[in-house]
Amino acid sequence: MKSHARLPFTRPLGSRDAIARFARYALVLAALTASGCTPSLYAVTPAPPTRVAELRTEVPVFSKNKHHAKLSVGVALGFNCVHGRPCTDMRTTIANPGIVKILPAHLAGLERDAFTRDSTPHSTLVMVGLAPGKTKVRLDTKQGNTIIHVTVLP
Amino acid sequence: MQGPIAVGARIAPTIDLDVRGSGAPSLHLASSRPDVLATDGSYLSARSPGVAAILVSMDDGTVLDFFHLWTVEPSRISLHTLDRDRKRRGEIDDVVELMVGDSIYVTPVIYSGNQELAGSAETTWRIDSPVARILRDGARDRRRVVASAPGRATLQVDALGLKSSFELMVVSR
Repeated sequence: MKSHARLPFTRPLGSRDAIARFARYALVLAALTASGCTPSLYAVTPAPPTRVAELRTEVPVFSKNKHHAKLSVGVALGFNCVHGRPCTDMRTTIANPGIVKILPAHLAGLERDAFTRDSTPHSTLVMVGLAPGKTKVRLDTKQGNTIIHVTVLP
Repeated sequence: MQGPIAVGARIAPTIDLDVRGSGAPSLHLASSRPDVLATDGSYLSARSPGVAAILVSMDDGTVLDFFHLWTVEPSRISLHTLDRDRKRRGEIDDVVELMVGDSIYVTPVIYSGNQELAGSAETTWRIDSPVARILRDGARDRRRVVASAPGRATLQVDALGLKSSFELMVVSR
Protein backbone atom coordinates (compact mmCIF):
# COMPACT_ATOMS: atom_id res chain seq x y z
CA MET A 1 0.00 0.00 0.00
CA LYS A 2 1.30 3.49 -0.87
CA SER A 3 1.96 5.97 1.86
CA HIS A 4 -0.07 9.21 1.70
CA ALA A 5 1.93 10.95 4.38
CA ARG A 6 3.99 12.96 1.90
CA LEU A 7 4.35 16.72 1.99
CA PRO A 8 2.63 18.54 -0.90
CA PHE A 9 5.81 19.91 -2.39
CA THR A 10 7.64 16.61 -2.70
CA ARG A 11 6.06 15.80 -6.03
CA PRO A 12 7.00 17.49 -9.30
CA LEU A 13 5.06 20.74 -9.92
CA GLY A 14 2.69 20.58 -12.81
CA SER A 15 1.17 17.23 -12.08
CA ARG A 16 -2.61 17.27 -11.55
CA ASP A 17 -2.10 15.65 -8.18
CA ALA A 18 0.11 18.49 -6.96
CA ILE A 19 -2.35 21.13 -8.15
CA ALA A 20 -5.17 19.39 -6.28
CA ARG A 21 -3.03 19.30 -3.15
CA PHE A 22 -2.26 23.01 -3.52
CA ALA A 23 -5.97 23.73 -3.80
CA ARG A 24 -6.74 21.72 -0.67
CA TYR A 25 -4.06 23.47 1.39
CA ALA A 26 -5.16 26.86 0.11
CA LEU A 27 -8.68 26.10 1.27
CA VAL A 28 -7.48 25.02 4.70
CA LEU A 29 -5.37 28.17 4.96
CA ALA A 30 -8.35 30.33 3.96
CA ALA A 31 -10.55 28.59 6.51
CA LEU A 32 -8.01 29.06 9.27
CA THR A 33 -7.63 32.72 8.34
CA ALA A 34 -11.40 33.23 8.38
CA SER A 35 -11.85 31.60 11.78
CA GLY A 36 -8.92 33.52 13.19
CA CYS A 37 -10.61 36.88 12.51
CA THR A 38 -13.00 36.59 15.43
CA PRO A 39 -12.23 37.28 19.05
CA SER A 40 -11.91 34.26 21.30
CA LEU A 41 -14.16 34.00 24.33
CA TYR A 42 -13.59 31.77 27.34
CA ALA A 43 -15.41 31.35 30.63
CA VAL A 44 -13.60 32.37 33.81
CA THR A 45 -16.22 31.52 36.44
CA PRO A 46 -17.83 28.18 37.31
CA ALA A 47 -21.52 27.37 37.46
CA PRO A 48 -23.06 27.05 40.91
CA PRO A 49 -23.99 23.47 41.89
CA THR A 50 -27.01 22.01 40.05
CA ARG A 51 -27.09 24.95 37.63
CA VAL A 52 -25.61 25.49 34.18
CA ALA A 53 -23.17 28.19 33.06
CA GLU A 54 -21.01 27.25 30.09
CA LEU A 55 -19.45 28.89 27.09
CA ARG A 56 -18.07 26.84 24.23
CA THR A 57 -16.59 27.68 20.88
CA GLU A 58 -17.45 25.92 17.65
CA VAL A 59 -14.68 26.11 15.06
CA PRO A 60 -16.17 25.50 11.61
CA VAL A 61 -13.69 24.89 8.80
CA PHE A 62 -14.95 27.47 6.33
CA SER A 63 -16.56 30.16 8.48
CA LYS A 64 -15.98 32.25 11.57
CA ASN A 65 -15.92 30.74 15.03
CA LYS A 66 -19.31 30.40 16.68
CA HIS A 67 -19.79 30.85 20.39
CA HIS A 68 -22.55 29.09 22.29
CA ALA A 69 -23.49 30.06 25.83
CA LYS A 70 -25.86 28.06 27.96
CA LEU A 71 -26.90 29.16 31.43
CA SER A 72 -29.69 28.77 33.93
CA VAL A 73 -32.08 31.54 34.84
CA GLY A 74 -30.59 33.73 37.55
CA VAL A 75 -27.07 32.44 37.02
CA ALA A 76 -24.15 34.69 36.11
CA LEU A 77 -21.18 33.72 33.94
CA GLY A 78 -17.97 35.70 33.65
CA PHE A 79 -15.97 35.41 30.44
CA ASN A 80 -12.89 36.98 28.88
CA CYS A 81 -12.45 38.25 25.34
CA VAL A 82 -9.07 37.96 23.66
CA HIS A 83 -7.78 38.39 20.17
CA GLY A 84 -4.05 37.87 20.59
CA ARG A 85 -4.41 40.38 23.41
CA PRO A 86 -7.44 41.43 25.49
CA CYS A 87 -10.24 42.92 23.40
CA THR A 88 -10.86 46.65 23.59
CA ASP A 89 -13.87 48.89 22.96
CA MET A 90 -16.31 46.06 23.63
CA ARG A 91 -19.97 46.70 22.83
CA THR A 92 -22.81 44.21 22.89
CA THR A 93 -26.12 44.17 21.05
CA ILE A 94 -28.70 41.69 22.34
CA ALA A 95 -31.51 40.56 20.05
CA ASN A 96 -33.85 39.89 22.99
CA PRO A 97 -32.72 41.80 26.11
CA GLY A 98 -35.42 40.11 28.16
CA ILE A 99 -33.55 36.80 28.02
CA VAL A 100 -30.00 37.75 28.89
CA LYS A 101 -28.10 40.73 30.22
CA ILE A 102 -24.42 41.45 29.64
CA LEU A 103 -22.41 43.78 31.85
CA PRO A 104 -18.80 44.97 31.79
CA ALA A 105 -16.69 43.50 34.55
CA HIS A 106 -13.33 44.04 36.16
CA LEU A 107 -11.14 41.13 37.11
CA ALA A 108 -8.07 42.16 39.02
CA GLY A 109 -5.66 40.36 36.71
CA LEU A 110 -3.46 40.73 33.67
CA GLU A 111 -3.43 38.87 30.37
CA ARG A 112 -0.11 38.20 28.59
CA ASP A 113 -0.02 39.13 24.91
CA ALA A 114 0.64 36.03 22.82
CA PHE A 115 3.22 37.75 20.62
CA THR A 116 4.72 40.77 22.37
CA ARG A 117 4.45 39.32 25.91
CA ASP A 118 3.01 42.66 27.08
CA SER A 119 0.68 42.40 30.06
CA THR A 120 -2.74 43.99 29.69
CA PRO A 121 -5.77 43.91 32.02
CA HIS A 122 -8.34 41.23 31.23
CA SER A 123 -11.32 42.22 29.10
CA THR A 124 -14.17 40.64 31.00
CA LEU A 125 -17.91 40.59 30.64
CA VAL A 126 -20.59 39.07 32.84
CA MET A 127 -23.61 37.38 31.28
CA VAL A 128 -26.74 36.96 33.42
CA GLY A 129 -29.67 34.68 32.51
CA LEU A 130 -32.92 36.58 32.97
CA ALA A 131 -35.64 34.39 31.45
CA PRO A 132 -35.79 31.04 29.63
CA GLY A 133 -35.33 31.25 25.87
CA LYS A 134 -32.82 31.69 23.07
CA THR A 135 -31.28 34.84 21.71
CA LYS A 136 -28.20 36.11 19.90
CA VAL A 137 -25.64 38.55 21.22
CA ARG A 138 -23.40 40.45 18.86
CA LEU A 139 -20.09 41.41 20.45
CA ASP A 140 -18.22 44.19 18.68
CA THR A 141 -14.65 44.98 19.62
CA LYS A 142 -11.89 47.02 18.09
CA GLN A 143 -10.27 43.72 17.06
CA GLY A 144 -13.33 42.21 15.39
CA ASN A 145 -16.80 40.98 16.10
CA THR A 146 -18.48 37.72 16.93
CA ILE A 147 -21.91 36.28 17.64
CA ILE A 148 -22.81 34.44 20.83
CA HIS A 149 -25.80 32.11 20.57
CA VAL A 150 -27.32 32.17 24.05
CA THR A 151 -29.68 29.61 25.55
CA VAL A 152 -31.16 30.34 28.96
CA LEU A 153 -32.57 27.28 30.70
CA PRO A 154 -35.48 27.37 33.18
CA MET B 1 -22.82 31.73 54.72
CA GLN B 2 -23.31 28.09 55.64
CA GLY B 3 -26.87 27.62 54.43
CA PRO B 4 -29.50 28.98 52.11
CA ILE B 5 -31.57 32.00 53.11
CA ALA B 6 -35.03 31.29 54.46
CA VAL B 7 -37.83 32.57 52.27
CA GLY B 8 -39.35 35.53 54.12
CA ALA B 9 -36.13 36.30 55.98
CA ARG B 10 -33.40 38.80 55.23
CA ILE B 11 -29.66 39.07 55.76
CA ALA B 12 -27.19 41.94 55.79
CA PRO B 13 -24.23 40.62 53.77
CA THR B 14 -20.72 41.70 54.59
CA ILE B 15 -18.67 42.38 51.48
CA ASP B 16 -14.91 42.09 51.97
CA LEU B 17 -13.58 43.20 48.62
CA ASP B 18 -9.97 42.53 47.72
CA VAL B 19 -9.14 44.40 44.53
CA ARG B 20 -5.46 43.92 43.75
CA GLY B 21 -3.61 47.22 44.01
CA SER B 22 -6.70 49.21 44.92
CA GLY B 23 -9.01 50.10 47.76
CA ALA B 24 -12.72 49.40 47.53
CA PRO B 25 -14.67 51.81 45.32
CA SER B 26 -18.32 52.76 45.85
CA LEU B 27 -20.31 49.52 45.61
CA HIS B 28 -23.87 48.50 44.86
CA LEU B 29 -25.59 45.14 45.09
CA ALA B 30 -27.98 43.95 42.40
CA SER B 31 -29.87 40.69 42.11
CA SER B 32 -30.22 38.68 38.91
CA ARG B 33 -33.65 37.51 40.14
CA PRO B 34 -35.42 40.03 42.38
CA ASP B 35 -38.41 37.67 42.49
CA VAL B 36 -36.14 35.16 44.31
CA LEU B 37 -33.76 37.40 46.23
CA ALA B 38 -34.26 41.16 46.32
CA THR B 39 -31.75 43.82 47.31
CA ASP B 40 -33.29 46.15 49.85
CA GLY B 41 -30.82 48.82 50.94
CA SER B 42 -28.06 46.95 52.72
CA TYR B 43 -30.22 43.82 53.06
CA LEU B 44 -30.96 40.84 50.84
CA SER B 45 -34.56 39.67 51.22
CA ALA B 46 -35.53 36.13 50.20
CA ARG B 47 -38.83 36.21 48.31
CA SER B 48 -39.22 32.72 46.82
CA PRO B 49 -37.23 29.46 46.55
CA GLY B 50 -34.46 29.42 43.93
CA VAL B 51 -30.99 30.64 43.05
CA ALA B 52 -29.97 34.19 42.32
CA ALA B 53 -26.68 35.84 41.47
CA ILE B 54 -25.81 38.89 43.53
CA LEU B 55 -23.70 41.27 41.47
CA VAL B 56 -21.31 43.62 43.24
CA SER B 57 -21.03 46.62 40.94
CA MET B 58 -19.42 50.03 40.81
CA ASP B 59 -21.27 53.28 40.13
CA ASP B 60 -20.76 52.95 36.36
CA GLY B 61 -22.20 49.43 36.31
CA THR B 62 -18.89 47.57 36.09
CA VAL B 63 -19.20 44.24 37.91
CA LEU B 64 -16.37 43.64 40.38
CA ASP B 65 -17.58 40.29 41.62
CA PHE B 66 -20.65 38.13 41.95
CA PHE B 67 -21.82 35.19 44.01
CA HIS B 68 -24.78 32.84 43.86
CA LEU B 69 -27.15 32.38 46.77
CA TRP B 70 -29.91 29.85 47.43
CA THR B 71 -33.25 30.53 49.02
CA VAL B 72 -35.48 27.78 50.43
CA GLU B 73 -38.76 27.52 52.29
CA PRO B 74 -38.25 27.02 56.02
CA SER B 75 -39.84 23.99 57.65
CA ARG B 76 -39.39 24.72 61.37
CA ILE B 77 -37.98 27.12 63.90
CA SER B 78 -36.41 26.41 67.25
CA LEU B 79 -35.57 28.72 70.13
CA HIS B 80 -32.00 29.19 71.27
CA THR B 81 -30.56 30.99 74.28
CA LEU B 82 -27.79 33.57 73.92
CA ASP B 83 -25.05 34.64 76.27
CA ARG B 84 -24.36 38.24 77.27
CA ASP B 85 -22.33 38.77 74.10
CA ARG B 86 -25.37 37.55 72.13
CA LYS B 87 -23.54 34.40 71.06
CA ARG B 88 -25.72 31.33 70.75
CA ARG B 89 -25.44 28.83 73.57
CA GLY B 90 -27.80 26.15 72.34
CA GLU B 91 -31.34 25.07 71.67
CA ILE B 92 -33.92 25.17 74.44
CA ASP B 93 -35.19 21.62 74.89
CA ASP B 94 -36.33 21.68 78.53
CA VAL B 95 -38.03 23.94 81.06
CA VAL B 96 -36.21 27.21 81.67
CA GLU B 97 -36.08 28.20 85.34
CA LEU B 98 -35.34 31.76 86.38
CA MET B 99 -35.33 33.58 89.68
CA VAL B 100 -37.27 36.82 89.88
CA GLY B 101 -35.13 39.58 88.37
CA ASP B 102 -33.03 37.18 86.25
CA SER B 103 -33.17 37.34 82.48
CA ILE B 104 -32.18 35.33 79.43
CA TYR B 105 -31.72 36.27 75.78
CA VAL B 106 -33.67 34.16 73.29
CA THR B 107 -33.68 34.01 69.49
CA PRO B 108 -35.41 31.78 66.96
CA VAL B 109 -33.26 29.76 64.55
CA ILE B 110 -34.75 28.79 61.21
CA TYR B 111 -34.35 25.34 59.62
CA SER B 112 -35.22 23.46 56.47
CA GLY B 113 -35.18 19.84 57.57
CA ASN B 114 -31.93 19.42 59.48
CA GLN B 115 -30.16 22.33 57.80
CA GLU B 116 -29.99 25.66 59.53
CA LEU B 117 -30.97 28.55 57.29
CA ALA B 118 -29.54 32.03 57.15
CA GLY B 119 -31.52 35.18 57.75
CA SER B 120 -33.59 36.88 60.38
CA ALA B 121 -37.35 37.29 60.29
CA GLU B 122 -40.04 39.37 61.93
CA THR B 123 -41.16 37.63 65.10
CA THR B 124 -44.23 37.77 67.33
CA TRP B 125 -43.76 36.83 70.98
CA ARG B 126 -46.49 35.76 73.41
CA ILE B 127 -46.54 34.65 77.02
CA ASP B 128 -49.67 33.18 78.56
CA SER B 129 -49.03 34.33 82.11
CA PRO B 130 -47.46 37.57 83.39
CA VAL B 131 -44.52 35.93 85.10
CA ALA B 132 -41.96 37.58 82.78
CA ARG B 133 -41.57 40.59 80.56
CA ILE B 134 -40.40 40.27 76.96
CA LEU B 135 -38.15 43.15 75.95
CA ARG B 136 -36.75 44.09 72.56
CA ASP B 137 -32.99 43.92 72.30
CA GLY B 138 -32.10 45.88 69.19
CA ALA B 139 -32.52 43.01 66.74
CA ARG B 140 -35.91 42.20 65.29
CA ASP B 141 -35.72 38.49 66.02
CA ARG B 142 -34.07 38.60 69.45
CA ARG B 143 -35.68 39.21 72.87
CA ARG B 144 -34.64 39.54 76.48
CA VAL B 145 -36.96 37.66 78.82
CA VAL B 146 -36.94 39.16 82.33
CA ALA B 147 -38.54 37.14 85.13
CA SER B 148 -40.89 39.40 87.09
CA ALA B 149 -43.13 37.22 89.32
CA PRO B 150 -43.15 33.63 90.55
CA GLY B 151 -45.20 31.22 88.46
CA ARG B 152 -45.22 29.12 85.33
CA ALA B 153 -45.87 30.16 81.72
CA THR B 154 -45.50 29.12 78.13
CA LEU B 155 -43.53 31.50 75.93
CA GLN B 156 -44.32 31.18 72.23
CA VAL B 157 -42.73 32.80 69.18
CA ASP B 158 -44.18 33.00 65.66
CA ALA B 159 -41.88 33.59 62.68
CA LEU B 160 -42.39 32.95 58.96
CA GLY B 161 -45.68 31.23 59.75
CA LEU B 162 -43.93 28.74 62.05
CA LYS B 163 -44.19 28.42 65.82
CA SER B 164 -41.96 27.33 68.66
CA SER B 165 -42.34 27.56 72.43
CA PHE B 166 -40.81 26.64 75.77
CA GLU B 167 -41.94 26.36 79.35
CA LEU B 168 -40.74 29.06 81.72
CA MET B 169 -40.78 28.67 85.50
CA VAL B 170 -40.04 31.67 87.71
CA VAL B 171 -39.21 31.14 91.35
CA SER B 172 -38.89 33.71 94.08
CA ARG B 173 -35.50 34.61 95.52
